[in-house]
Amino acid sequence: MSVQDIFNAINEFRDTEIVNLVQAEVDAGTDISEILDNGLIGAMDEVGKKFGEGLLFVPEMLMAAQTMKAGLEVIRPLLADSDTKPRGTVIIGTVKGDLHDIGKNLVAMMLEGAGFTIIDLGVDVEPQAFFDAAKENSAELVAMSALLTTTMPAMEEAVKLIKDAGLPTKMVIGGAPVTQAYADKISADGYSADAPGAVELARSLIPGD
Amino acid sequence: MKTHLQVLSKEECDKIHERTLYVLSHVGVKVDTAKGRAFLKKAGADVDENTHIVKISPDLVESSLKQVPRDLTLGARRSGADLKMNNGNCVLCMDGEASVIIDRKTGERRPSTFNDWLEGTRIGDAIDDFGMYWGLCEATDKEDTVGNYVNHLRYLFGNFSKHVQDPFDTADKALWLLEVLQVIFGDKEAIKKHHPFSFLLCPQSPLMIDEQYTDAYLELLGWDIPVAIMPMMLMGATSPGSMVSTIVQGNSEVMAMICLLQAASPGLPVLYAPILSIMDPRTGRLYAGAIENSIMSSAQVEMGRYYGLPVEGTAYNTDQYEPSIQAGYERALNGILPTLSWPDIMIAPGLLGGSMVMSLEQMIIDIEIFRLSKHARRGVVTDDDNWLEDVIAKTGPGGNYLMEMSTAKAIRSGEWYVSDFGMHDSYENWIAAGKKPLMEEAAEKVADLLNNYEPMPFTDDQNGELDKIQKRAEQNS
Ligand code: B1M
Repeated sequence: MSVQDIFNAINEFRDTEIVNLVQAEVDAGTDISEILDNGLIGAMDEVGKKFGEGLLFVPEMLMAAQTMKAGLEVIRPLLADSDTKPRGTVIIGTVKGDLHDIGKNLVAMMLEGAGFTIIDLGVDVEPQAFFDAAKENSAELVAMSALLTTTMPAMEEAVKLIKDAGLPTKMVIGGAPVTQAYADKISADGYSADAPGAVELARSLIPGD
Repeated sequence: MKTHLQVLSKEECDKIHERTLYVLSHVGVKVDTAKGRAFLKKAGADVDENTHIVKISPDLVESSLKQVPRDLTLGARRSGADLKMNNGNCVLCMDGEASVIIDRKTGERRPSTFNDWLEGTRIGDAIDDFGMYWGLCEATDKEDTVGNYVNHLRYLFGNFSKHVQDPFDTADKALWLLEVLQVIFGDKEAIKKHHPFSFLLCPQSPLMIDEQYTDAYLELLGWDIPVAIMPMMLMGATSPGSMVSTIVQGNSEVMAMICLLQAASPGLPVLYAPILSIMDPRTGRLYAGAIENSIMSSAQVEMGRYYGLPVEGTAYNTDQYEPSIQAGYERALNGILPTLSWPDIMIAPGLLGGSMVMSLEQMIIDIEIFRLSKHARRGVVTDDDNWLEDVIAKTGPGGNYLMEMSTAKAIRSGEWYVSDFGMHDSYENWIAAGKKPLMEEAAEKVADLLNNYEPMPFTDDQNGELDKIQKRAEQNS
């Protein structure tokens, strides 16, 4: 058994085996940050790379993320005791008046797979709810999705609420009709056209340790 | 015989129906509208008020299905433009609700405006292949107020005189719509009889019925306004990873909505209209240009026909953002299969990039694809007039048929499809005519229609009444 087995299990989506593999490493006294960085997150970085190169499809990448998450659950209680911190907290949701959630879910799953803590507010989310959740959770990032031109202005409201209150939370947006130009216009901190791009964006806005 | 396409056997349709009954009775549907749940409960469905899950028995599905009228005519302002469903016809309907347009004069990609919507609507009215309206794009330069909504309805009915399908998103618009309809189409009884307006409801996949849009429609109860039921799933994301199961799930969502609507208003006309699409496994996005979409569209038409319901089918989609070679082949392939399946109404020409980008030139190209597909469906006609062995005998070996009356007649009677669009000439003539690109020709057609087509005007009385309604709506905005 080794951290490499954890890495491999994630790359092969073996979600039934991952719990035992991670537990075995913990029991063997392997450093938690070693399990996390070289096993769980390292594997997802590899998966992300393969996905970026077009070698993996979305369902495969998500299954890998699910496998990673199951492994993460094993060490989560130990994380508080170690020096290792998760990558950051992201509040995500589809904005007020909008029920499209497929893209938002995809972005959430990929961010989670990349090691971020996700708080998913669901669909039809009021600007105030983004603000409240960002504040309560001291979130590093709020990611908003909109698929309707009529609901895009709700993003501007949320950005304004959070910026005006001086919260340090970064605001990023996406969704089929959304553009970089719109993000600039409403003073959002970033835009991405797809889920892998959202991960890149989150990484660039929340520098790791 | 006619060219025949069949993607599901009778046994497979039976099986899809059986699996649908299983899904509805065992898994159920999450119904977020309280009004909808109350109707379903009254009809005998098993409703859990905590989870909003409603389980629907096979008996309730069967009895609801029986209540749907098979005999339906969608009315229109223009005489002769009524659409009789299940009557062997297939008309086009524009695609709906793009948010950007490729400007026809500058080629620039920019947010769509009220004027773009108006141009699209007028062209839809001018071209006979279109039998029904859906708004091609959003007017992103107009605010969402009831005043603007009434203004929209005025321009809509003033510029489109065939059948109108135009959903709205909030219940407060219903009364304004009904007022406008009465000015144009007569009293409640006339509207109930002629169905000049229909709605669109989209169950959310997988297996959910929303509150906002459904409640907006329920404000119209009692007016017998037909509903096209159009869930849009993405195979592999919001429906299972197989075509047949995607068809089962789409069918289940339509059946659940039929049960809700029939419980609310027995005998309400509905159109079978699920859009069964596939996810791009590389990105998770809508894989608009995929051939699977057109196979499932054909299956959708067959399922609607299996139930004897009027069918609104879908075709012409592409991933490409501009008219191009890729858009051309994807749209042609996605157009021909569902056209061969022959729904009553076929959406949706005019939009590119997964129905996000409007192009009037593309709409002209799509109409050509529709006409070609229709001709393909015509197949090999074997009427008595077409057996020409006497002409073969008369002409004999080595002759030709150019001066035969049978040839001339056939060209005029539909044996040929003589296209008036695109390049079909000799190389020399093509060069001499300036090698006009197809897009330029399409743009000229668009400009010509917009310059010369006169929509059907309202009477002075109607205009006066509409002025009053608009004034009140503006005061309410
Ligand atoms: C940093 O944060 C980030 C970063 C990146 C982010 C991000 C956040 N969020 C997304 N991304 C990005 O990453 C994702 C993955 O790579 C991508 O996410 P997407 O969400 O773009 O992609 C998804 C993975 C797959 N794509 C989708 O899921 C959307 C596909 C299309 C066909 C679509 C669907 C499926 C649906 N719809 Co709707 N629908 C359409 C869509 C057409 C299209 N081309 O997008 C669109 C968006 N819908 C439209 C409309 C009009 C509507 N829909 C409606 C309803 C529905 C369904 C419920 C039937 C269904 C949604 C089901 C669901 N659970 O989400 C209605 C509105 C309901 C509401 N209040 O929200 C209704 C109003 C229809 C009606 N009249 O009832 C149009 C919008 C027009 C406009 N101008 O705004 C539309 C373009 C189709 C059309 N032309 O008619 C990126 O955008």
